[in-house]
Amino acid sequence: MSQGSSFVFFRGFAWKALSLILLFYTFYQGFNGTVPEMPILHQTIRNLYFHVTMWMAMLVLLLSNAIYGIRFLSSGNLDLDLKADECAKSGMIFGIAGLVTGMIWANYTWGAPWVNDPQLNGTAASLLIYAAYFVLRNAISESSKRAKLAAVYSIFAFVMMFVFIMVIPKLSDSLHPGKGGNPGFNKYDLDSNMRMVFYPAVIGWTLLGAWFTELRIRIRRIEQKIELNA
Amino acid sequence: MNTRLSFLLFGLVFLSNTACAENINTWMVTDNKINVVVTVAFVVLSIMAVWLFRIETRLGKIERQSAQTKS
Repeated sequence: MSQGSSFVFFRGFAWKALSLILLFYTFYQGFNGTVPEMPILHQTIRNLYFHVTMWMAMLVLLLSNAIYGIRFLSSGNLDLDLKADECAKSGMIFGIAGLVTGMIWANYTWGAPWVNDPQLNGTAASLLIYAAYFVLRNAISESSKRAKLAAVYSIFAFVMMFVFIMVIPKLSDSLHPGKGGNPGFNKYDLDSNMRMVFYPAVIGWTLLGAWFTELRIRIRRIEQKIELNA
Repeated sequence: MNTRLSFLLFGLVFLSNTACAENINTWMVTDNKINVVVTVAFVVLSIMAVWLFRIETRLGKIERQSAQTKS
């Protein structure tokens, strides 16, 4: 292997290895590191490394979906539509994971897996909006028309999701930290020990999501080539 | 591919969350169960890593073959 190609291989490989290293670190330090002693939350505060970070990864993936949608609309390149589609799929996986983690956490701290909280309801609405994105895609057989409609819808979906999970919960009463007048986790985490795990966890989960997406895109491209040759 | 990886991801998520949700402080103090949780998480994460790298290698091979055929 020449020097140039080995550099390209390492560059492509490095971020994937980094995601795994950060996730191993998250799991080790997440369970063994010190956390502030909080009433009600107790040790469940460690779920911050899994629940919130999943959401962060989902937000990055769904933002990528909207960006690829915008780029497709300005260029008409169908490969960008493929990327947008796969970003949305990975984003949904992380979204469902974030929802499940939140429900488990809520069950132990709020007494029920689903309470009437604007953030929870907004999350459910957002996931349904993205489920409709996939239904829309499957309903149109003509590829360029499908790509155009999906791109426009993805921009609308991201804005709506932002409103549902970031804006509305802050304006109304919510059980979530940092929403509805509640203090955020920044106020709790005075010693910053948690930040040393939280930020690497966000990067680790996001890179893992990007890895999933990249593999799926490459598989789809091969499938398309096979279809064209058949 | 997605289904298997998602299954592993959800396994990890479920494990970590249940462990967080239970009072793991007690586990650590009493019978060191938290080490079991961390070990299982490491094993699942390792399986996921091996899986991802296997897909990566196979895809790379197919892509190289396809590029050669084209040229």
